[in-house]
Amino acid sequence: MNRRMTRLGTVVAVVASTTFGMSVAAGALGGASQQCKAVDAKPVVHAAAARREATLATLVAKLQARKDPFGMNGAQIAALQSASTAISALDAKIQSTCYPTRAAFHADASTLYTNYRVYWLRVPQSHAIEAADHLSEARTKLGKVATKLGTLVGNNAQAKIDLDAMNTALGSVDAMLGVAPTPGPSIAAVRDLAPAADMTADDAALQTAHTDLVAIRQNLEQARADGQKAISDLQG
Amino acid sequence: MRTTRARRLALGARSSWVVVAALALATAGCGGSGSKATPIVGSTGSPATTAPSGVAGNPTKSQKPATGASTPATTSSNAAKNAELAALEQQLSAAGSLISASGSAVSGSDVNAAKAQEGSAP
Repeated sequence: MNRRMTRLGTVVAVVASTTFGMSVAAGALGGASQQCKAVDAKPVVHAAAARREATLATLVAKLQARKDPFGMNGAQIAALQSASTAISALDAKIQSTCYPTRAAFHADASTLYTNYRVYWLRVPQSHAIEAADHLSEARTKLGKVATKLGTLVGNNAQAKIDLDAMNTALGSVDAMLGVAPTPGPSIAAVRDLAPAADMTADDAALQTAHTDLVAIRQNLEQARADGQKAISDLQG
Repeated sequence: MRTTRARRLALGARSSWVVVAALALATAGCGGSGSKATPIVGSTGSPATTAPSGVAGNPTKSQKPATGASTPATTSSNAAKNAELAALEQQLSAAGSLISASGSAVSGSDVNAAKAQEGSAP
């Protein structure tokens, strides 16, 4: 009887011990899965990173295709590529890190949105540099036309008037756009912008450059129209 | 006898004159310098006579200056000027293409439109 009791006690002890051990193990595993926070937000951050990398690649391709009359494209391309590399590394880190708190995840994820300023700064900045590139090339072509027209107008009074108007418009362009290889003040200011926590100064510089670029484009259109008039005067 | 002799002398002298005159005509017809004779085209196109080269004959129709406002030189000058103006129009067109191509870049430089895409961390 005593032996039976002893065996039964042993079996109970083993079963109890095994059950306890399993429950402890299960408890430990459950705790581990609960420790990694913000797992659901990681795909959102990954998509945002991939979108930024694609945007930066597009900007690089556009600048690489340009003629770079102001010598600004090289530095900008380097800045864009550096940002892309850093964003890729950040994304890899965020995806592989087990964040103990959502705040820790948020702190890392926020750098993607604030440290690089891909849309707030790099997109308008790169477009401003690209626009200046296009407009400078157009300015050069119109300048050659104006110079040639100067040799052809002779005593044609109306052609002279239209050519003067063309040259006035081109002068306005030079004042804002600059004359390659020296960019105008607002274009040069854009070139030197960098991501910042406080984007107030960047905003102001970008808006000034954008306003100038719109005006430069209008003046070039005007110069082209005046040049066309002068040619018509001489043909008539 | 005397009379007959005198008549012969007279005939001989006349013949000499004819020979001299013929020689003179032949020399003039050859241009005198031995150069080739150039036919002069008359109004009917048939050779009217010959003249030595180097002597201006009647100009052909194509050589005559055109009657009207423009001389050949003026026409040529106008054609060159029109060609230059056409080339300038092409350059204006190329400049127009560049200005058009700048449109998306200029609008893309608008910070207010771009920064809205930045978003914030989840």
